[in-house]
Amino acid sequence: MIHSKAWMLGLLLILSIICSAALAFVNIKTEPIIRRNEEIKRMMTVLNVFEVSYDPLDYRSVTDTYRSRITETEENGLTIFHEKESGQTALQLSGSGFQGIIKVVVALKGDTVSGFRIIRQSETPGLGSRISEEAFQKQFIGKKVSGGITLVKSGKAGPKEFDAITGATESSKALARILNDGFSRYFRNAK
Amino acid sequence: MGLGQSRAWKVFFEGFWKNNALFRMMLGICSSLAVTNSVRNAVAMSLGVMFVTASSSTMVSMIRTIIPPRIRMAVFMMVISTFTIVVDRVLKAYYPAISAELGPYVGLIITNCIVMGRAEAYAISNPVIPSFFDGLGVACGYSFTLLILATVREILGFGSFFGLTVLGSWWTPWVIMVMAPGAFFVLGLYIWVMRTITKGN
Repeated sequence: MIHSKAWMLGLLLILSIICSAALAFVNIKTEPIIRRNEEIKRMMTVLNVFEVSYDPLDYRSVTDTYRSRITETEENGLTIFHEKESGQTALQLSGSGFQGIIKVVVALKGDTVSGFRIIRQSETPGLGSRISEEAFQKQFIGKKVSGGITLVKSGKAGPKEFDAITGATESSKALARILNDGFSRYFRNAK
Repeated sequence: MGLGQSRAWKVFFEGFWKNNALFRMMLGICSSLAVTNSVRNAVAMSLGVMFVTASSSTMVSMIRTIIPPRIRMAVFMMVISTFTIVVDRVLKAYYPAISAELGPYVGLIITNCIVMGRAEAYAISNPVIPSFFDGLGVACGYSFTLLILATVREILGFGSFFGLTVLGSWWTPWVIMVMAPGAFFVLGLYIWVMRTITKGN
């Protein structure tokens, strides 16, 4: 009986139903918690960009600080954050990288970058993924970006340029495109 | 239980040592290279593999009499992926930091040859309880290796163990140890040593 075609199909069908049910159950149980984790991570990133201090081990402190200090607005498809005490602004920019979506938050003081954080990327591990390394992100601070930012390979980036990552030209180019696209939209609106 | 304590131990030990996944069967090499740059990652991965291997072996053994031989691989895959996705979701929900560090490797437990290997080599033709101990034993053998590799790599590469600094600032970290090539060197040496030690058996 177990060699019959009908049973082969039947068993696979029954098993898929059982497995799907089990996964659906786990999903229902974990989904809200995973969502909350992601939300908190996003809040921490925004707070970091503004250099607002909070207790990273206490979820309550993160959400409370965030709610009391940050407001979010949506303009022309750009998410813009405002920090109440310093009056600073940050932009959330996203677009497709070399392998997946890159999401980045950039804080601005006038036309100068004062904070830069990659919040999401799925670039090639060890190459493109290095865009989320501290050293790479730090170089953006102090750049003047109202006229866009240019990618250079020399390792000697000027005030309106940034250094690409060796071996990850496509990821670097994609990041430049995402940034310039966002900056041009933002500064056009600001004028 | 229907199975004496000594027999369970024997099955476990055979899986752990005599059939050790890494230095005997040469299985699970890829994931052991990937997750052993810190002890914390290795522990998380080990627990995941232990859970998946033991539960999928148990499950496969439970339904072994009704699995048509021609579709057994498909059945294994379904059982293994279900357990793996459960581990992945639970880590994401309750241990987001570990989940972020392990990245895609948890999902890749599905493709860990050890899990499928135990289903095919043992669970499909053995009763439930020995299958559980076999799965657990082999997974523990794998974990044992992971921990050794991770300890060596983390101490030499970061000067720390389980995130705690053990070598002072005089120590120059060997960056190569935390990168993939470092794993190859350590694993190669480990297999050489282990095979020499166990030659007599």
